[in-house]
Amino acid sequence: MKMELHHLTLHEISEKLANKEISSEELTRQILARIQKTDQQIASYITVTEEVALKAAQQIDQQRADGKSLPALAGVPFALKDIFLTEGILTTCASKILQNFIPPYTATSAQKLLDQGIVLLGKLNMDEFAMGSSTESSYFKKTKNPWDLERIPGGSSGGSAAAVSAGLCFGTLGTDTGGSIRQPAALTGIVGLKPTYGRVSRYGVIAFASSLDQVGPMTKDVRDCALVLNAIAGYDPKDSTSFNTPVPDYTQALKTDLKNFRIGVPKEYFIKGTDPEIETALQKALEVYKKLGAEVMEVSLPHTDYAVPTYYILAPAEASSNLARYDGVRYGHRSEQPANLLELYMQSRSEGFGTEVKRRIMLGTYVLSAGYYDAYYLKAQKVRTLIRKDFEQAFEKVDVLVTPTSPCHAFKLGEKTEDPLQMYLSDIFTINVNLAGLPGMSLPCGMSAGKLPIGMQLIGGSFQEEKILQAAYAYEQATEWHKMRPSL
Amino acid sequence: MINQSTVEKIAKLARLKLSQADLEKYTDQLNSILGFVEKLNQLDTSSIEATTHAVEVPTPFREDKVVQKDLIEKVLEISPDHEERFFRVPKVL
Repeated sequence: MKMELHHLTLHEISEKLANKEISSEELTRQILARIQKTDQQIASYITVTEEVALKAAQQIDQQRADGKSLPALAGVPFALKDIFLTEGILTTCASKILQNFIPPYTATSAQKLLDQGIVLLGKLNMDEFAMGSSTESSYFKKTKNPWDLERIPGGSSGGSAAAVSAGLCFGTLGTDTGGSIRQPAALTGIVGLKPTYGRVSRYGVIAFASSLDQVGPMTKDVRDCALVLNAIAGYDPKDSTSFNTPVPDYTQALKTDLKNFRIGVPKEYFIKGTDPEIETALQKALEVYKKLGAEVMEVSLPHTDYAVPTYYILAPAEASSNLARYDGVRYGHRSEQPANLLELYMQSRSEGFGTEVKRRIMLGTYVLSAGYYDAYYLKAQKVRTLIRKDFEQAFEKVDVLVTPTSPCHAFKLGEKTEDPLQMYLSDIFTINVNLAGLPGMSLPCGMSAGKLPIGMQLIGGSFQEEKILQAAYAYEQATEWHKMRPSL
Repeated sequence: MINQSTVEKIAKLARLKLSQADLEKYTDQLNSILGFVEKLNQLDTSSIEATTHAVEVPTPFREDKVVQKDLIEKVLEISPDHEERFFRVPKVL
């Protein structure tokens, strides 16, 4: 069956553009029309930048007509999570406090994509300040899962995941602090990669938890992921935590041969409480890996159970400090008629932040407050060391680890909003990777009986993105899951 | 266990104004989350070093010179209130 244009992958559409089967302007107009129609149901975009998009598309078409040789991403309609600063374009972080914020500069990762000639369609919905696992904490709208409109798309990069899955753009950038790229990718049936901490610049990305945040591609397949990673990876003098190490051509890692490849299965990730359909899908995926020639062995990450409590001390602590800057003085929401400066701070923040953000600021302020620092923050940083060492030991024996991405399928809207702890536990398999600073990817590996996508997580050693891409590509080429599209 | 007056104190430190209903809700929820993170005390970490960043990067230095000259105007332009090259705020006390 011939696939509709909007459901093609980024590399397929890139070929059509290069062969002049379609112009970028024509393509951009088609996708914009699709957004106007279909996004009424999905609600993935906060801002659509039609003028910016058409102008960029026309420019690329002109350059192509002039015979210029162009990068793979040139002319491809793309979108960004609304956490990336874009000069002159509204950037809200899905918060009331930034609802009118037009940044004076552009994030490095976004700029690198613009330099490659992407056509920016707009900015995508997310949990407010990336705090959440369902995109329900957005101040603006609730994004629906394209596979079932009564369900959440995951979060916090839920708008990004839904837009890619529904064919409302050919790729996006997300951010991942505890699973915010990988979990929504799993729940919407797409590929999402969180690179190693330091691989991609965080400059111009609105900060949540600075020692955990990382930028990454969200795409329809593994080749698309490698192409986008090629464009955004690398050292940035404007981010003091970005790592100065050469960037390989990640498409060179896309091989189907897995001889002498060792895959570890951490026994702590196959636990009671995971949906049986997800468990079965993972077992089948491991069988595929054996057939491809990989050696599959059990490993142990003994401190896995401590990751969620460690994260829910460290991330709120860093967030409470990062979000202190929203005080109504220099930019963002300012309360009307405060009596004095203190009232200005208190009222602007209380009016501007939503419930989940306030909850995390409160938690973070408490664990950092006098008398509790050692008991909570320092303790959690020490446990973080133990979690990191677990991974280091495992990677002495194996090339990548395979786990489920999420313990459950996409849940219904409203199902977990009343119980924050239940929401936090949906990140149980992804949080560890951020604490250890490692690269992790989610890719489609099955479908539930109710037609909801299932994701498999691949975890690699530090700066071992190529091994993840190799294992992902080999699996993808041997299966059909990545070709499934929601019917919208 | 933390009580409501502690939560009130934290709110003040965090510069948040909370309603009575919020105070009660957050007291319950913070207690439930703090109860959950107690789990970390099962581990003896007395001889373990703390991890602040997963990837150790030495502090990079750059030449001490201005690189973005035009940013001041742009930044002032998006501020809620400014005068000349200053942000304006209500009286401090």
